[in-house]
Amino acid sequence: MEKLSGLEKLAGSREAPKNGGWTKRNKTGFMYVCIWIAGFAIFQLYPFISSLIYSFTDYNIFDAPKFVGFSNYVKLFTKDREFWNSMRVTLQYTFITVPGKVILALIVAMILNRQLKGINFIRTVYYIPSLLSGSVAVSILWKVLFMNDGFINSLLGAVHLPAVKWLGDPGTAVVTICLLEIWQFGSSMVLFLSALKQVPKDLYEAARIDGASKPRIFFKITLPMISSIAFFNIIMQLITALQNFTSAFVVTNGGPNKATYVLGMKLYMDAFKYFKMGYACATSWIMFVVILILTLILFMTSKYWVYYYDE
Amino acid sequence: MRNLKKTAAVLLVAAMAAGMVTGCSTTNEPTGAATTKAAAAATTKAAAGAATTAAGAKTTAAGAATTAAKADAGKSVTLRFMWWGGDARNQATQKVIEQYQAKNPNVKIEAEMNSDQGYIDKVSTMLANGTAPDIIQQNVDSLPDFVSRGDFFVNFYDYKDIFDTTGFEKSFIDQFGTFNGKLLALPTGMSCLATVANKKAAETCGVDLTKQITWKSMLEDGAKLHKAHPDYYYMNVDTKILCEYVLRPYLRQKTGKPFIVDSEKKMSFTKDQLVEALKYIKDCYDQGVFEPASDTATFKGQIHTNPKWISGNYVFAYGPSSSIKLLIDAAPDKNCDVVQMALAEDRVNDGFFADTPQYMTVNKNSKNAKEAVKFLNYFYNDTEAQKILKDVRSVPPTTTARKVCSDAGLLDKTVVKAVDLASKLNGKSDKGYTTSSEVYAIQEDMIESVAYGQATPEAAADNAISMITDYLSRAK
Repeated sequence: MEKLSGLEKLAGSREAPKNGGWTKRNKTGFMYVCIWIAGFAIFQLYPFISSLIYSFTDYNIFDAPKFVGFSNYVKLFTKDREFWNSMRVTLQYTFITVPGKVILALIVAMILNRQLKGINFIRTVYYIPSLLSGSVAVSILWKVLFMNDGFINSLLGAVHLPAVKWLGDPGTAVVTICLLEIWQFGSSMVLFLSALKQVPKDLYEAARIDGASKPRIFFKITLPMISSIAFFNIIMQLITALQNFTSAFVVTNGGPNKATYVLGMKLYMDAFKYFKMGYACATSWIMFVVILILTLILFMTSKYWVYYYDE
Repeated sequence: MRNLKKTAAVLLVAAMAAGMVTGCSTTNEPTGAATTKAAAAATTKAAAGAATTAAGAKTTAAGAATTAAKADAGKSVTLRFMWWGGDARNQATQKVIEQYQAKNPNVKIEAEMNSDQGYIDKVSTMLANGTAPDIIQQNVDSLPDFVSRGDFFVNFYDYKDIFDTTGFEKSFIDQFGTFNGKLLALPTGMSCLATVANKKAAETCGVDLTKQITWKSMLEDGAKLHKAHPDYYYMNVDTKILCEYVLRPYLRQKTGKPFIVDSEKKMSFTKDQLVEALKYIKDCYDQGVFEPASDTATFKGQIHTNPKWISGNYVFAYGPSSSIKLLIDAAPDKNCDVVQMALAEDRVNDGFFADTPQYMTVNKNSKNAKEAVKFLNYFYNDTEAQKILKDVRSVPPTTTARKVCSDAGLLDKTVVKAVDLASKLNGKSDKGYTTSSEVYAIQEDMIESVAYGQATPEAAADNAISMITDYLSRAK
């Protein structure tokens, strides 16, 4: 066989692939990936499928599961008052946390988007809380801070504002755990920072020359250019917020009077305290469908406001 | 440069691999080492071991124990013992374990100390997948639920030659630990629900501690007290305590029956009675007998940390006899007493009763069930062990232990007074369906919805009754 010329090598071999495409490169690539695939199959795919199967059974971990069809789902929607309360609480939590977090991240990113001495240090400081997401220790700390005679109320007292019963009042308890999540806006902020840096400077120059006002520049240039990253942030925060468990469990334990009893908590209690595994699996699948629907809605509406500058 | 990068990469991989391995539990290693050591020592110490075991087991079964010990003195055994508790209890239990291991060198006991948070969840998961330890301390409320779900525990009556039950009062172990004639759990002490009184606060507010409290008097006196002294409150509670200390006893004193009658799978009260009980609790909150629920929410489960109790602004507090010390230590000047629980004047039954704080059980699937039972015999019946354990699990459950401890002055007199007050009452225990996690949560929910003013007593009662009915239709 004659040696392929350099150009022909570049263009790729003209012969049909041997082994049905299973070249050495493909094999090596697959070997690198197969470890991840094994982990995914064991720790994510298998529980995913088995939880769907369990959701159609009555399973109390001591006995074998009993097939009951859709009765778990029917019960959740028609007989379980706690389910609707948890759904309401979860949606309330999500629709306070996600806009709060994303907007705050954007504002802080814009403030920190400048060249100053020590700006990297400041950005790091704002980023650190998001490293602690899901941390039980931080949730305990939060609980102590927001107690009736805790640090936050002392601060309010110092500026002559009345103390608030953060954790005791059913109305404000949700706000307290939302604040914990909003405080961890650092990761979104970092993404926004990089997006802001990628907005072409000549757009701003052109706008300045044309005499556009600052708000106009923000809404007509900055926002559209970073909309793809904003879209990513919103979707990721939405998915995380809907599945929240740790902060509700540790800070308020679902109370007071089930005001912070998010769906994640209801799932935990049903599964591990009341031994209703099948029922809990049904709850988790309903949560999955809700997340799916909200994400799809966001995707469908994205073509109206998200701008990808390479299309 | 390339070699440097390669070495760095290899080192990092090694560090990651080491990190993964350290995550694995190392409890197997010491067991392995201990068993090989014990096996080597056991053969030489066989005769000596048998002698000391015979001396240590001061029970009527001593003769049988010696022959049993001689027979398997050569076999080394590891037992896992799981319990929850505070420092005092952990230290005392550890000491007893060490003493037993010294007397029985072929036995090694691994202590698994836990916090009480999440303990039941841990035990239930372990029982379900067969990884439960050999000896398990159990919560009194949740044990009946476990017993109904499977055959997990050893019947101590099957081991009459190893375990001596004569130290216990028969009526006591019949009520606590016996299920369908089988002694599946051993009560660890005698305890009760107690009303702790802060003497100084009582004096300031003019509360007469010698007067018997009734539900009516609690509401009247408490309301008057709070009106006259707005910083003071009558009773330190949280919404969970109210289930066990007010809601259920109120109903038990009215009906003479437990909240749910397990044998009939029915509630023993009418809707009107439940509404009356909830209205009572609501009135107590509204009229200042209890501190507002939103203020006490953060101290749920730890009312001794409530700053108002610490500053002495409460006259009374509710707590189990095993936590009396916690309440007293937190009160100013530790100047406290216990008084009798609230008794309705027109009651058909006292409602309250002498109880046990925890149980000890042995896992039926344990490979060393016999050794585990032997250890528990030492734990309960050996004089030295009784002296060390004294009252870390409330007043000791056996007559021998109580005599030994009171002779040596080891029991706290307030705890003894509380248990004495309770032992005079004729109430019956209501553990069972009533105290399963789901029903307990329903009780708490209805109290909370009334306490926070988010539901009327009628609506809360309706909701609770329908949820309990649904639970009972599913219960085994």
